[in-house]
Amino acid sequence: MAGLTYKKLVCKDLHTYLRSLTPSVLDKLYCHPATCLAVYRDLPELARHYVMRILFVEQAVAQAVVKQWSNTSPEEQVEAAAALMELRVWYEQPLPGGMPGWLLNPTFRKNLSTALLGGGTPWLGTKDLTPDKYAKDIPFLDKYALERWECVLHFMVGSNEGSDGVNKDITDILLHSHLMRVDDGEPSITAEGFQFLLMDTSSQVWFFLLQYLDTVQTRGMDLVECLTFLFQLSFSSLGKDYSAEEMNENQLRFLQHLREFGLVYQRKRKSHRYYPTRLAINIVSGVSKDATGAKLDTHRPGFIVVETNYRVYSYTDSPLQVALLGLFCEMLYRFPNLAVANLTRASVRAAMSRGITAEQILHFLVSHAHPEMLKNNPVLPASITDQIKLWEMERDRIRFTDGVMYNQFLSQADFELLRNYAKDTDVLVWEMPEKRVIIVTKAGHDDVKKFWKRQRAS
Amino acid sequence: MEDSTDKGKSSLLIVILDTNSVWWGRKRTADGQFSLSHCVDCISVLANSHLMLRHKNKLAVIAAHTDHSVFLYPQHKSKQTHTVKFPDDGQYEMFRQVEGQLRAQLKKLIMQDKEKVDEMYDVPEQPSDSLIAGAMAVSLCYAHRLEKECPIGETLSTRLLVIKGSEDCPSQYMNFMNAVFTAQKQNIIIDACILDSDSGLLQQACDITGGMYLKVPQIQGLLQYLMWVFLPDPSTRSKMVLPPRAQVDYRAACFCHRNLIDIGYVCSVCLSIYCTFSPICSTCQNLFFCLYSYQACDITGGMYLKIPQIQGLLQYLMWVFLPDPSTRSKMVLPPRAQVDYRAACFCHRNLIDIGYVCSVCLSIYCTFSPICSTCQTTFKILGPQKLKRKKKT
Repeated sequence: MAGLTYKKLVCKDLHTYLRSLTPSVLDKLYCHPATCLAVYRDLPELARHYVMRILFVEQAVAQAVVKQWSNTSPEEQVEAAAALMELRVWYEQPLPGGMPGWLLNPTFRKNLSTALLGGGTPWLGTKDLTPDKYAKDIPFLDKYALERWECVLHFMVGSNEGSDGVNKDITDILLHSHLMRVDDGEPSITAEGFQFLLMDTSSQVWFFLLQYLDTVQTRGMDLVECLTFLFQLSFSSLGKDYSAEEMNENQLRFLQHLREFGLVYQRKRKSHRYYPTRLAINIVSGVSKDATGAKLDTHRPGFIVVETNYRVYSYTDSPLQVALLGLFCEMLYRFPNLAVANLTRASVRAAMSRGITAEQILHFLVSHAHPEMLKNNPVLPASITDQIKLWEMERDRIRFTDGVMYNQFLSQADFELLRNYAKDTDVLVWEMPEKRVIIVTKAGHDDVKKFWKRQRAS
Repeated sequence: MEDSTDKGKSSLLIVILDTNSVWWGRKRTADGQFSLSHCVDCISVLANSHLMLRHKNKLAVIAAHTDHSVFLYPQHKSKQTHTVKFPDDGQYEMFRQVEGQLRAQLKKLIMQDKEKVDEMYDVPEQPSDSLIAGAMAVSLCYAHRLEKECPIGETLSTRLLVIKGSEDCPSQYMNFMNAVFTAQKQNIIIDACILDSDSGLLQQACDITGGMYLKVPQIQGLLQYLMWVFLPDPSTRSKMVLPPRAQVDYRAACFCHRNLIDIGYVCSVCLSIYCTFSPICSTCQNLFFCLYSYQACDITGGMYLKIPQIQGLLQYLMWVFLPDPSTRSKMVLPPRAQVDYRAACFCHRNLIDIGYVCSVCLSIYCTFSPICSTCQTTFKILGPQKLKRKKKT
């Protein structure tokens, strides 16, 4: 088919990611309340209620009974039940009478009710600490997190704005995830990298962490341990300090990595307390399901205004944001706190030739829209949305299909015979009776050739 | 895996807990198993389950006490204790905080009550009803504020859950109904979980706002009832099989004896309902005057006499009507008759029990007629039909 399409960057959500784990890893994960909580929140609505209803029922519940709990479409019920099965939250178990039943995973049950009701052992790092001499407030943490994260993005676009640079771990992950590749010894950004840049911050962090978790085992760390800690971090509260004293060697290493990404703040490397930042909080549910979803970037206020005349005003002083805008806009003016650009056919097509899709451009504009823009419904002017999509479709006008051409038929009868045969077997791509030319698909070529030989022989 | 509709949507659950000390005290002595602390346990589990459903879900718990209503959760920031301790077990930090705050606030409330009782030497008669209407008004205000604070692009769906044990309070009827209609206007759903005897008011409230009304059959299983019926938020409810809506008794209770009545007297000013006629409305203190001749005597204190034998008219006049009011008290006169307060219709002069009243001149008719014959007002049953001009194309 088309050789022009680029691989679209797929950001797995938590559900897909967990599904890709082995059952034994999943069972180990459920040993901690934080993971159970995260998994629970990720379930479909109906499934969440199923779990709540059987949370305090210590035995298997008949499937027929569960079915009667809701009156929605069967597909939705099946979807809910399947999601629970896939994540091993419940499994099938026949009832004493032989009826098929569902039994909630005992580990999951135990730890979810621990999270809800209490009991069990305390979470990691929840030891009462003496008040911090250098206590940090929320604005400071936000600023810190954003700075750290922009450092990574700056590194990707190759600007030397992030002066303190990034260390080898981050470079490794960027290379591993194909967001960058090594050209002449210097890492440079790839088409996927551009798509990554246009995602909203929480999706970026989540994608990045998934890539990081892929490499965790090669670093000799335990995936379950890291995931558990990550989920726990996601449920901690902003602006509060946690103790790192009880952590083991691996967890401390993981903490150091998170510190580099800006997910936690630690004053000094050896410091025994850390503050989770906004990047880490609620990381698991921060992933948008699809790229088109108008999800707002909660980490920084929006700054882009798009007008119906294709003019884009960007109220920002960040060179990175302006550079991102420059990926698909033609920059016009630059002021200290404002950049003005135009969306043109040429600029959008240039972005598309880099592998950026219309959806991603629109998503970027919506997720960074200025608060004033957000009052509109739809957020972006319809004319802009349509035009960008049309420009994308423009590039899709030619479709390539591999095929074999048959021509120079001696008679019209021969031509028609072969054409009809190709049509009947559904391999005909194109025909031109005037010049007696037909094209069949590559797969059908052998068959048509044999048929033709048989015809000639007889 | 969130639905597409889930995005930018958060759900606020406001629980109104009836903390009437009289009712809970009686309950405790009656069956000895179910106490307020048990109920608070159930509510905190429900509250935490609600918070667990979605990251953005919000919660408020309000106690409707005998004389005031208090926020149990969330606490006002300035009053919040600064050292929030970490839980010493595996409970999620936030859930522990909710539970702890609920208990602490409730304890404070009960201690205040105790102090009050101790101060006043003779224990005053505690009212056996709670300020449900007041708590509802507070929660509506709170919901309104949160909706305003909601960031652009996000919507907040609110529902109230009233958990009530004590009796309905007739004196709150007006405030209660006002709160219910406000809730309906703001698209806030009112759910009711009744622990003791059915509440006609809440039944109507639930029916009007489209909420669930449930009288808990077995109070020991309260938690399961809460989880099954009240945990799903309104958008999910359509997908679940829930107890069918009960037939709502829309009969109003009279304000004088709290009896459910089919026909009664309605105050024309405040719409309070009475089962017997009384000349003064006890709710709005309005005086009613009846302007018909034979009722006039009764109202002004005159004599009313239907002459049994017309031949003896002169004798009747001399005996009954000659003495002036000051002398009358000294004379033996016919006893005052039972006055029939039924009004006569203006069209056929029949005494009627129920009739149609002209909203302009208060004339009474036994059958409906489109024009009031007294003041010539035309009544329109349907709204005025607008003639639409066709747009020029």
